[in-house]
Amino acid sequence: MDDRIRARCDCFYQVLSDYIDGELSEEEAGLVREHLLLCPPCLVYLEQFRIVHQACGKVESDDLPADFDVVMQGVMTAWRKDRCGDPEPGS
Amino acid sequence: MEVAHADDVELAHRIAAGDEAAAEEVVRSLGREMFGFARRMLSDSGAAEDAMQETLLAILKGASKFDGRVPLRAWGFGILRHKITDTLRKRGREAVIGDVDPERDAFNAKGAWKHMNFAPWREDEETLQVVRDCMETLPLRQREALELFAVEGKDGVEAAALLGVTPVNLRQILHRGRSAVRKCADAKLGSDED
Ligand SMILES: [Zn+2]
Repeated sequence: MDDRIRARCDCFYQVLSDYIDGELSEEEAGLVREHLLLCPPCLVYLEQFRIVHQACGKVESDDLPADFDVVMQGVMTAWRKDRCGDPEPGS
Repeated sequence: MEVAHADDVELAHRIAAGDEAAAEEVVRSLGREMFGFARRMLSDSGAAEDAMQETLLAILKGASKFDGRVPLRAWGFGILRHKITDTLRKRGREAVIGDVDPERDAFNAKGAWKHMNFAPWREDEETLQVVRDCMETLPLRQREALELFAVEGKDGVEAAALLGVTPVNLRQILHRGRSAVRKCADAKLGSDED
């Protein structure tokens, strides 16, 4: 990487994901910002890219199904059954 | 030969020997995460629950076959990915690998955009919905990368391991996936029209 990032949209584009994810060196990130100052289309492009990025991370990983514990217990029960057969009645 | 993931091998041995606590530990630690990933991939809670349940059971039943070459978690996610692929295939969605950069023809010889008429998107629910719809049209591999990366967080090393690619490779898959989603969404939201 060199200061083609500052001068060329295609080089800017290639490092865009790395820029958004904070994977670039400080120097490279500086070149990206310089490019953005000079290039309105890439600035719009970056904002669109950011929205895509955020939309992906935004899935509520917390709202598990209400019967989640039951499902987990179901896995344990099926496993026991597989190992030991059906439990004997009355045991 | 040295076993890379000795702790995981020990855990798997205990499960294979019928240790309930070990089994529960694996089910608890992986279930939530697997459900989240499956739901993102399948866009359906019921199907995600099925895939997760089948995967966890397969892990418990197959624990004696685990050899520790990859972490237990990566092994389990491999099983889950197969189940998801099967489900998507039954729905008629083929697993295609997106090999081509979506913007490969977008630049002129000097590296500038050929068409510079990008217009900002509104940041509202409609835009988000369009973006999510576009995500569903991605080749499976790219979609997995995007979803897993979101689950795994920033560094992506573990996401790469789960997908069986190098971190560098993952970054490329990720970039092309985002780029394809952006392009798809922009076409629908209208700023590409002259
Ligand atoms: Zn530019």
